[in-house]
Amino acid sequence: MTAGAPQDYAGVAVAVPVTIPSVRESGHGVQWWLGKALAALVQESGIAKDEIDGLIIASYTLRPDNAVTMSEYFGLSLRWLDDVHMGGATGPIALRRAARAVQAGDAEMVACLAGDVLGGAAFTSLMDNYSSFSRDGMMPYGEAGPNLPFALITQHYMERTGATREDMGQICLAQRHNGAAQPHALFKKPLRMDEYLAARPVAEPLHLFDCVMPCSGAEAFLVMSEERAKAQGLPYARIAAAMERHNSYSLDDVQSSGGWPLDRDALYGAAGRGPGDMAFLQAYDDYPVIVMFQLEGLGFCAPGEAPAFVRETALTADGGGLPLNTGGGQLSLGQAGAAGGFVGLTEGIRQVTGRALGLQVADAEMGLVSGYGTVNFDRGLCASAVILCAGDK
Amino acid sequence: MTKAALELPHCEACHRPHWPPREICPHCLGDTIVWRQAQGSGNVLTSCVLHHSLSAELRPHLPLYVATIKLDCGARVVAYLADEAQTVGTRVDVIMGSGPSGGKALVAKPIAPR
Repeated sequence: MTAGAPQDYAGVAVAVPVTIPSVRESGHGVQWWLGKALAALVQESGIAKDEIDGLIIASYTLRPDNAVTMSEYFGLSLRWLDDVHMGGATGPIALRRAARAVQAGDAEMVACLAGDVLGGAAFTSLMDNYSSFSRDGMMPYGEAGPNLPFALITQHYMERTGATREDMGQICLAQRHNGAAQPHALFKKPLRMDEYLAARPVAEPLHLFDCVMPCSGAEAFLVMSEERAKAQGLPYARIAAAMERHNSYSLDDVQSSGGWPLDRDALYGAAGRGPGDMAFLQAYDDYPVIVMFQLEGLGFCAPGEAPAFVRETALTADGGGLPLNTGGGQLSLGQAGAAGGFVGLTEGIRQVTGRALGLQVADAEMGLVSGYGTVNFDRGLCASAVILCAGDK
Repeated sequence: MTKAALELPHCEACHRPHWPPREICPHCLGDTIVWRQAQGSGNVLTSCVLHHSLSAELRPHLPLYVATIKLDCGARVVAYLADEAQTVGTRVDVIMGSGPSGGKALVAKPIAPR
């Protein structure tokens, strides 16, 4: 028996990208951050709170609360509810879940919220309790959090491909250029290559500017029918195609790719387009090597050729090459836990609707948002992607 | 050969080791998991040098050298490197020893002097 092609996402709109700007130290609980994001969805859409009948929550630090308890906290009566807990891959996956619920009629108006409070001690606590494999197999070796597995992955990638620190730096510099125009950025100062290279080592080969800053923040969007978005007068994006893949290439000794290549042809096939048609790539950027995985895995260049690609291609939002993480990405905005997994999606919605907060990519009719997340032992297990295109204007 | 100083979770149904520890075998889903002595020989796959730690106890011991090692018995582990950085492919012997602050940890030593 062969699996049929998945159903398309016709008739679904994703709209109202919301960002509650991150801070290094939060004076509020995570419920406040999620609630501010929900309130912004209501305020910016003009859709009443009582019309929201579906909810997705993504958060690492919400325990002992969860999506169910938050329905009571926010006074929402829901007929569809999901906890989507997939780290940096969550944005496209939450969108897939919500889109199917709307298509099937299980919900009409789904609010997707992601938020975390992760300054200082909260980050250490999350790392100590991240997963059983992390606790038993990774954290005892230096208590370095995600820096250890990503240093190991980066070292292997650099040796295998010949990638240099300058190559990694191209990604960081381009994103900080984009972030300088972004009002929400924690780091607004552009970064020079000499500063990048002179930064202190954190987990060699990783240095300071390779690492995202844990912070507190929230991101959100609404999923509804296209008809409803139009009736409400909301700018919206359509979903041309989407994929997710978990625990792929598990036999590779050191992770060399996320799961994107397994589903890439189906993804572009469903959209009827290829990588060259994408006006931008919003890639999950916890570390530069993972951006290189996405450039390769999503077909922007061949495996092992991302270092050459980033040397030869402008990655800035206004450089005429491949605009990468056009809002600055987490390297500029900080990593607010699960909200970091929504950053690419909210930025992607803004770009295809022509409403960038910072640099707007010209003619951004269609673009790709990809995610990567959940480093359990020595690799990230989740990969995701969605191709967004502009809805009717 | 000295007595192996490494024990790994071992599936009594399919006779394969795994890491990190589980109560269910990832190869055959058997639930008869026993810790058995294992040969610790293996190859360094990748390594790094930690200059930052979330643990105040470990900070005085920085920098710390850590590697991913493919054991000849098939399991893949992360371990401290006893003597500074080792290049990819270095043959090492992994034992269950102690980390810099005294906690139980896997430690790898080069099998032959460099």
